[in-house]
Amino acid sequence: MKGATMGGGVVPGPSEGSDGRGAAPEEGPAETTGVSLQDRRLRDVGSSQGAMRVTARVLTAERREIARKDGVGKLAVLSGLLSDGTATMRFSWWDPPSVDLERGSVLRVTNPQVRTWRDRPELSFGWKTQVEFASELELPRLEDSELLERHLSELRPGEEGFRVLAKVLLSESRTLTVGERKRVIRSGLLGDSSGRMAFTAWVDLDLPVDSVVEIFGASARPFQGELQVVMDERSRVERRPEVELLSMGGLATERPVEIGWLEERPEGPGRRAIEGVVVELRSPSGLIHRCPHCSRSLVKGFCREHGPSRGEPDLRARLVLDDGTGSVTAQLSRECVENLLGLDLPKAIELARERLDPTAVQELLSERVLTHRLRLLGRAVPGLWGLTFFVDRVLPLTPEATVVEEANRLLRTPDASLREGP
Amino acid sequence: MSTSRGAKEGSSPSITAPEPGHPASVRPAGSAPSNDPAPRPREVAWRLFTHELTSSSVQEKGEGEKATTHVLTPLGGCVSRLLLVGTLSQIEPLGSGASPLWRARFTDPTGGVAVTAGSYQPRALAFLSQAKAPLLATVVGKAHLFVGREGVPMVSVRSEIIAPATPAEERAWVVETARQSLRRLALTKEVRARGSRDPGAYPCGYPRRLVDSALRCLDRYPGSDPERFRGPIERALGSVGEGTPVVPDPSR
Repeated sequence: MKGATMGGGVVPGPSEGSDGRGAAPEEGPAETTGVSLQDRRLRDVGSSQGAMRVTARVLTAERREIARKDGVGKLAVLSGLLSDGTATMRFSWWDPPSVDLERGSVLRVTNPQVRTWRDRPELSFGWKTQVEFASELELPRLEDSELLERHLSELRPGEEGFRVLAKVLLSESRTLTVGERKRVIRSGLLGDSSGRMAFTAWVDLDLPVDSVVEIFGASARPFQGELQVVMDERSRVERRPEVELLSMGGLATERPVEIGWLEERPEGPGRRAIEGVVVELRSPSGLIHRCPHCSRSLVKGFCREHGPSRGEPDLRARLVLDDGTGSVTAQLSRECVENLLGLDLPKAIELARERLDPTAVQELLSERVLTHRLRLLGRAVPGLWGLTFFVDRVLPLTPEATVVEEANRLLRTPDASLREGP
Repeated sequence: MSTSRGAKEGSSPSITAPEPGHPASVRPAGSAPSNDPAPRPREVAWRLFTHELTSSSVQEKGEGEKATTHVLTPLGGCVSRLLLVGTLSQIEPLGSGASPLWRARFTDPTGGVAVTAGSYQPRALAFLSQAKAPLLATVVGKAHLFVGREGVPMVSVRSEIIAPATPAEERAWVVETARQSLRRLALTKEVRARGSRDPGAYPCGYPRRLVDSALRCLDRYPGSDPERFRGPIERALGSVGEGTPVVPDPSR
């Protein structure tokens, strides 16, 4: 693909005389259209007028045949996604050459048509369009200054070409087998003054917990209904001193939202903090055993998929947290439960053995949490029985001083009792 | 490795973009129609002061099997479950050996209410039978309204859980309860002023659950002035706000 002089873009039409050489890019196509030609970034394509040229990388491509409207024969079309780091956009290449378009190739496209499909711009390559293969080097450079400075809550699905300054709140890596290859991916949680958002890095980037980082060239994509910051080979991460985060507004005070508000809008982006009182501890909580095949918790030594098993011991809690405006069933993982209990898993197993009672841990847990206030960070998922809240972290409670301050605020301005947004 | 690969895999598991504030995502709130065959949402544990609770004189039983009974309050609460934090005193046994029943007096800065625990509430029963009064406690229970022979309504709380509370938990409860009570007070006034039965007619600062229950209570307390509940709420807030207790507790 290096060199990129092959004139891959065969375009029917008599007026397109260019041989595909990009030696004097301003001349050839400009002559054919008679207007000045401008290099455009994909993110500006939707709003731009006139003749343009974009250089972008093929992310996906698929060849299809479409029956012509007049019923005579079929029309070949190659469609997929293009990205130049500022946006990802759908393209359709009508009557494409027979050569295969590989993922990763770079295309230089002169005079594409811009169409709007479901409020999103798309590129269409027709007989007036000239498509050529280009080299990596010709991809437009994105200067850091061109990347839009974003807060996490400002990101929209599909957005690219931004940079964010955030603190890494959670970070863990795991190995995933994709096809035949093993890759290390890193996932976790970012926070800034606007809120929190999960991230997934498909390459092992430098993202340790509690570090402040600036991330360049990531994209914002929904995963299981939740928007995430997704990083890959094109992304770059730089460590920043903590003060820079402060100058951007610091870390969002993990001000809890009302559960009633979450119940009405469970689909909101990012992670949320909630605070309430534990009014019930649901079984099975405490010490449980998980099926070694599927990690389901065993009921009387029995997995509903894989039958009887000894199982792997684990700690979990399912508790009902209620703040007077609504309630959630909060799911807490081993780490959170260990913190609440003040016991780690081996000690919890020991406790159950000593007391000769498998429910001893659940009993201890209910003494520790029942009727007590908890502040939890996590995400809400709606279900038939109400909201389930998957907990990332147990947060420290509202400080006493804030409680007193709130009392005075309510005394001065009773309207402060109205619900505020998140 | 091609640089595009990562981007593709990052995006491949996507399902749908979240649409914040989309009206279709609104789950039916607490007081859904009772003929709904779908599972009933859990009854939220209302935060209200005993003054509002004991001023209630209306009880409404839902339709259908195992219908929930709600005590309707003058500030627009439809209360089945509730959560109280305050002082328990006068703990005494009432029942006989076969059907044990314990009763205690619960007080908060606005007043007091009777709290009971029977054999169907083993956790609360065990706690009351061993507790040493007076003590600070959190009570989660169900509100009951009993109309006496002279037509005098009496509210009590059948407790589900009772556990000791800390002063910090009490203060947090008072502020939380005051905020939610003031909100219901404002909403009750608004509902009476507008008189509209369309829940959509009220500002979004009020949770849907509250609007629904305020509308249920609309005609139930025609003679009652919501403003008369403001004083006790503010008194409770004052107990948390600026200033320290006049006489410090020597035991702390």
